[in-house]
Amino acid sequence: MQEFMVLIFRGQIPGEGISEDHQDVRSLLAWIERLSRSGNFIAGEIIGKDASMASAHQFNDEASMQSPVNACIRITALNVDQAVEIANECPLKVNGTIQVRPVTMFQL
Amino acid sequence: MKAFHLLRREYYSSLVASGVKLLGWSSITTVEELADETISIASSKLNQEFDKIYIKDELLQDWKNRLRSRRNTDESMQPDDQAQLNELFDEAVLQQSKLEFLLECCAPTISPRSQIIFILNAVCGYSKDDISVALVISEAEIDDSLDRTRSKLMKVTPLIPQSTKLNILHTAIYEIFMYGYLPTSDDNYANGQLCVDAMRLIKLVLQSYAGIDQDTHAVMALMCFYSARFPARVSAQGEILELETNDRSLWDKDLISMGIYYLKLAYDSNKTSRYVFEAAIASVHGIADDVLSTNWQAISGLYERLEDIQSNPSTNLKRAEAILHANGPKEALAYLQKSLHGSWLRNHSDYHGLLGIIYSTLGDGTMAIAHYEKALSLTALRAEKEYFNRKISNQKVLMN
Repeated sequence: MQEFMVLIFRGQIPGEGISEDHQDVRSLLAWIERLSRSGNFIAGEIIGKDASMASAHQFNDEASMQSPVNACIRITALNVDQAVEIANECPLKVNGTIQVRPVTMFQL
Repeated sequence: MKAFHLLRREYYSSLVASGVKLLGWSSITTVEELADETISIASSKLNQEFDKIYIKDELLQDWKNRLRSRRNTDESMQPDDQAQLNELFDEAVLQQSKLEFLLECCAPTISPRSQIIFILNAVCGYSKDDISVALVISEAEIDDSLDRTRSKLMKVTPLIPQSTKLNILHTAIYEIFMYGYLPTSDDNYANGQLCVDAMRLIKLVLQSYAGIDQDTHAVMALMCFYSARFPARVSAQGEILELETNDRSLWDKDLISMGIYYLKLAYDSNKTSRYVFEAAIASVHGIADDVLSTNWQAISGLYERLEDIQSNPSTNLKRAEAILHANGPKEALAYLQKSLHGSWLRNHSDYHGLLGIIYSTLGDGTMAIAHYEKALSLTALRAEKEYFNRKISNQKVLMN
């Protein structure tokens, strides 16, 4: 099994968050529950839209201060194809986009 | 229509497995269409009250003719193909074909959910309506999933180890069972048919596959323990009965014995898996006379080991419940507060239901009611709403 990070970008407007109405959260929960049952869920969080920046340089770009990533879910999958298939079933795909990236296990 | 569904459940997997064996996976779409046509014709005869054995013979003969005709359009049949065709319908060969088909469905490029949709459709003979109700999913999603799965299965993939396929199959069968065991909607509370079909699938593996491993036995054991509780899980009025209030005299003792038999086969001190731990936990419940005499320390320890393999919101909740019984409400509360899955748990009705019980045990009725009310607001299931309403009423009585 390999580990992947599923990054959920919600909506086209940067900073548009996951709606707090019951339906959004419920559908995401149902998806997480299914992933737990099939043994694919490791961890994850919904992320707030406002970012606080730490940078060596002055940072005044308001748009960039709002993160377009609205949730990060860490999963296991047999390979990247399966990870993408799993991400495809995320209910929030309908109004946004989802990125799947392998978690790099590095060793010094 | 009813006859079509009945025949599909009974024969679809035999037709599709034998068709794919003869024509190959690249013809899966054609094979499925032909199988549905064949069953449709046979079902019209069944509606006219033809003898069932006659229908079976007719159906299989029609299927052979269709396969032969299809094969002839691709290439000329060799003289020995006729024998091969007949041999396909030998009972033992058919079982083997079904098993091979089932294992081939378990490609590692398909999501677990798509795997169970395909297995329910092609191996268990479920219609899209059946799947839609069973998994609470729209027909459009089912179509999309089936199309994606077919296209993946039709591609020639690198050799996948049988052990990988078997692991995938265990997960798929386990999930099918759990969709039946756990409530998913008001129309689908405790869907016993899914559980029966999952048990049929694991029996097929146990009986026909030489490469079974400890997980095959563990999944079977788990299903036996859970199925044993079915007669006591829901009252005659349709109310959910907690494990505590189950009339355990209604639990099926034969299934519990069978579960213990398979759990012993699964046990290997050098190897562990989630299914072995889950089956072991279910066995501790299965052999206890009641909640008070249940070995909650053992259950709590087993959940701890299960979490080493797989930690998720659901195992967190179940372990907290075991800690509540084994070590008391304060430790259960402390454990839940440390959970890494807090954001998911806080939106789950079961979490607030458990907190309600914890606070009630701690003597804080106000907090208990607040959590039962939160649980009530989070569940969409009628039976669970009734359960939490009862909890609130009982708590109010205790406080007066």
